Amino acid sequence: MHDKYSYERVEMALHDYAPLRTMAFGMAGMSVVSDSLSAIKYARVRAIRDEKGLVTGYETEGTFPVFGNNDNRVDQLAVWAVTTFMKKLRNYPTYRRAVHTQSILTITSNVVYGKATGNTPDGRRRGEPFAPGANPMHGRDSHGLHAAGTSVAKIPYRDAADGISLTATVVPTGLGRVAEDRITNLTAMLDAFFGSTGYHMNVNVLNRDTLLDAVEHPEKYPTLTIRVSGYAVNFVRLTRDQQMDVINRTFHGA
Amino acid sequence: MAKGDTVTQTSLQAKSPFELRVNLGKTVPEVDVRTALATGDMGFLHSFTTGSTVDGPGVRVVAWTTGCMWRCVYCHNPDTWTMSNGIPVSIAKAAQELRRYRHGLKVMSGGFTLSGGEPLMQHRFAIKLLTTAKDMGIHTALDTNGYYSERLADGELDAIDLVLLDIKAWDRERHRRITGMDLEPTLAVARRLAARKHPIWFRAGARGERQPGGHRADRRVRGRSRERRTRRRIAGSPDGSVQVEAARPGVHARRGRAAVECSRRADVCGISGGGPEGLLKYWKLDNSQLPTPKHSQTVD
Repeated sequence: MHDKYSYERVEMALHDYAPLRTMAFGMAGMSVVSDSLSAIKYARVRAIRDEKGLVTGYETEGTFPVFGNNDNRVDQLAVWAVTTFMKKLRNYPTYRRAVHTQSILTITSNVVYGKATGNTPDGRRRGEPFAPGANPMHGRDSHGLHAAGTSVAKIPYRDAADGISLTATVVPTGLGRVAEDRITNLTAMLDAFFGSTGYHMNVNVLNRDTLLDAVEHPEKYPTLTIRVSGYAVNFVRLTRDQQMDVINRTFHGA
Repeated sequence: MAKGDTVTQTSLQAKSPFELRVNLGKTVPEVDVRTALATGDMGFLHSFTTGSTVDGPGVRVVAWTTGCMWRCVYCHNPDTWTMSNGIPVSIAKAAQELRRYRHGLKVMSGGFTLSGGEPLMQHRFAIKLLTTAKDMGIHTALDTNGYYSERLADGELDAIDLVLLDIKAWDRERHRRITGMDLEPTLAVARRLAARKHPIWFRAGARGERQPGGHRADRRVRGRSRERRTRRRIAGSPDGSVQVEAARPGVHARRGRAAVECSRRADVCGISGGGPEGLLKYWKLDNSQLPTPKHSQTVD
């Protein structure tokens, strides 16, 4: 009876007979999960509890591989998390037998989710933002864009058909010494990323100083636009926290 | 890793691009270091990165070896000076790492660059690694100061597709002041490579000439930060085998001195068609107006 009285009926009138319905789920902080699991697996993690016995923090000793460096030990943990989550979701029937889909493309909400999440075993402190989308955590991808892209490209599309996004920030000189080189090199990097089952990359070519200046003097940059997952936003209209999150992203340099 | 128990657990992954990595290999017994150097089965690497666009043509994977015999006043990787700062890495491990990027490097018309430090301090390892890369079909480049190049046989040079040769200064006295070592071996290898038409990119370090006193020494703390200077290939030999890469027009151009330096470097390899006047002409133009040098066949 729902459809009979619902707006959906009008909308559906414009569709084909028997449309494919999807039901979207999403994951935020994928790299926090993989790095935390990696810390537990490859380093020593001890939970710190308060007087009620609740875990409030972690003590992590030793080094552990982190997502974004094309290291299978941890990249496969990210793949496992995505696949397992999807498998569990698929156990539940959906409205009108919609197909389950998942996205790993938080846009700026990774900041909000991070605010509401406590300490994690990977060393992220309470309230700190997650990395956007399927990005490696800020600054932990220390081996360049090619390695970071290869890591993200390992996330299986069949379990995240709504999108797996890598938001990449490169300083102009990181792409080459002259304009032609930069164009050639960026094109080549995109070719390599999508050639290795990459799905979605947001590219920002800018200097950190520009952004820092825009935080202080928004009036000078009314049209400064940056790419976040899926769409472009006006930088000066983001909240301060979101601006700082963008600034703290890994900038791939020369 | 070749010898599991002697090898530290330290990861090749720096924690951040600015991490100073020192003393990573100090626990390796000296006898193992000697064996490693003699066989080349194991080498000492500072770190590596992917997606580099400033270490040769295309988008490249770059590995930095540790150990250098020069002490340039403006060195931008001083934490690669001593070999014991590096992590012992076996050829097999390095090859395994490189293999993951093989297809991407082809798509990006890039390749593998071995830089340092001075890679030829570990010439057996360097050649083995470059040969392995070349066998995988990866374009190979060696970024060297040329000082130990006589260690390489002609046959071994074939494993290197491109030599990035850094000539720090033209004047012998100044060269000694900047690097602490003689210029002659570098010129000798330039001539040798030119004679066999081996592809070379000269990296003309105009910066060194400007700061002989090393008053930019504070830059040393930047650790692994790499070449920041904008460069441009400004001249080349008719067959394209020799390219001169130099700092972009700027302060130096007004003086014209760096341009003359470059042309002298070019002369050493018999680059024709440029000459000081021609080079100077290119040098003074803006980047936007810069024509492609007639005799230069772009490598990338």
